[in-house]
Amino acid sequence: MIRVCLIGDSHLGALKRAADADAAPGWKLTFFGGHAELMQSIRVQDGALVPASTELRRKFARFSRGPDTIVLDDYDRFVIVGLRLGMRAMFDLYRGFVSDSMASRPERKYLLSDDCFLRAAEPGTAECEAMRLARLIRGATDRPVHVVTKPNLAAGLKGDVPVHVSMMYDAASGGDAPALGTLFATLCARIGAGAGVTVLPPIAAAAEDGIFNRRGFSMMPEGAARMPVLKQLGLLSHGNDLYGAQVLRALNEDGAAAANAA
Amino acid sequence: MASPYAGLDPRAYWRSGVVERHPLDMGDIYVKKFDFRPDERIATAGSCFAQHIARRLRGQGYRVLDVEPAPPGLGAAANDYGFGLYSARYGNIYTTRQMIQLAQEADGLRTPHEAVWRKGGRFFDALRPSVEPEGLPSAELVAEHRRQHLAKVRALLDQASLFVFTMGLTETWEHLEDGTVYPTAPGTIAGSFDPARHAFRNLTYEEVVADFLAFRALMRARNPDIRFLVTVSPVPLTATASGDHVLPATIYSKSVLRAAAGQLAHAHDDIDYFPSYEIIAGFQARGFFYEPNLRSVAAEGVDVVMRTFLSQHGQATAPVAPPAAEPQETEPFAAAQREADQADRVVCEEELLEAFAA
Repeated sequence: MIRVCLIGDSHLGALKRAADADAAPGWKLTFFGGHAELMQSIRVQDGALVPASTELRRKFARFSRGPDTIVLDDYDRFVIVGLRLGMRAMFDLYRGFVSDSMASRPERKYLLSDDCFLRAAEPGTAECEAMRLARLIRGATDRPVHVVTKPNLAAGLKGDVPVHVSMMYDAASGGDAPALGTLFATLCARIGAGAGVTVLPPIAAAAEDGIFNRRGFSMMPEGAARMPVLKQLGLLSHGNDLYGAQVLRALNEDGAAAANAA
Repeated sequence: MASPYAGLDPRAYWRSGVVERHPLDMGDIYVKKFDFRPDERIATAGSCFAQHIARRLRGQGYRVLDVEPAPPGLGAAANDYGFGLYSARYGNIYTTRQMIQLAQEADGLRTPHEAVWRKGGRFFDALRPSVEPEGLPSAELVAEHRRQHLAKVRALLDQASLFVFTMGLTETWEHLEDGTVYPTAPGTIAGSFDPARHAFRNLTYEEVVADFLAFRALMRARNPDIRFLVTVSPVPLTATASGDHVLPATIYSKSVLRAAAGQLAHAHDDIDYFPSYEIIAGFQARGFFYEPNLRSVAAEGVDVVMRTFLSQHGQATAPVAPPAAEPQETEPFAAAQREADQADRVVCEEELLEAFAA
């Protein structure tokens, strides 16, 4: 039995549901959940991930109904999920810039080389709670650390959405989504290598247009169009158990590949 | 009749103007020819020493134009891609010939025969080979990037009301067919040297003056009120292809440039000369302002140059509007980000509690 510690925010939910449906045979999973602000209190102390206060420890235990600290030696692998590791910085950049591999050339956007586009998107992508934790764990143990990017929105919601979200729709309609998806995968590999961990980009089988989580892999139920936009956004950007199963499969395959390579 | 040298201002005598001055305070070595207007739109170009001038002027609140601003997030790497060095992403413009050719190309008056260089399967803009350190995947993309750059240069030349140009070199490499000069010798950063196509050229005093006047004419055709501030870079040659020893080759090159800059300033009311070259390389400095490699100018030297300059021109006081090319949507976007973060957090807590409910 491989002992796996999964650390993350709401995006852990998809993996928990998938695990409950027996999508992780041979793995003994421990979940350690909390939103990104809460995770900022985590420190390494005496070989364990420890929240900064008793109150915070209680919060972690309440969120994931699990331990309030993580003793690193108790696990064979670590998986960090979500915690703001995603394509937001890239879409922020895409507001004013396109790059060589993209299809569109709007006059208002400045053309960059792919290399420059990636360099510009890198700090904003890597500076997130997920990567902070990844570096923290890597500094304390040699065991494998995987970081799973949060899924993007599912397609289907347009109109009155925040600016950075509307950029996703612009990317899809302008034909730039596949290039953005490919660039993001490159960026994931780069920031993973920089931190000595493996970063999994959006799951290919679940990604539509290279970036969107397919609707059938999201938490958005049928007939939810009357919900407030922000609620819809939340549901569309969270994976369901099918998505969670895809992630677990990818982690399993990647872990096996790493083991074979070793 | 008394000697015409009698009773001159102290700055006119070597002893009081140089020997008795501290090199960190050259006082009235520079007297401005004209005032900067409060709304001056300053464009900068030239050899690498001009980068210091642009940076310091920005720091003092002057409106130094930047028509190709760096993408947010690039940070310190921006300079590696040619952003933030000058008013557009043209890299170092060492010679007056490069400057006039760039302006002519931006105006559609010339098309270089050889504008793309190769290296290791990658393609580089031969007229600014350092702005993409890794090059681009195809010659077509280089041409597309260059078209975009030239449109921005055109916009810059249209907007500028004061053009600051630092003359750096007289030695250059040109294409024999059309006379295009390059900022680096073919084969240095990319491309390959072919003696049948490329040749060394050491620009003469007459050529430097003529090139600059041609550039001035192009600029004045757009804006009759445009003014120029010229300087000469105190940075010596790294190497010379003239066949001479590098020291006399450097002195020759700088002398030609200094004489040309002086002639331009003497002959034209709209051209001022600022003696940054003398402040750094003059006798009084005794080499103090150079780094140990005797080429790079130390920060202390740049400080003295800019202090001398600003003692005449002062600090800009007019409100500085951001360049037109910069995105203006920061605040609404930031608000949207905050809103989305809040939504994330709300959804996060709900989702976590729901997923892990017993």
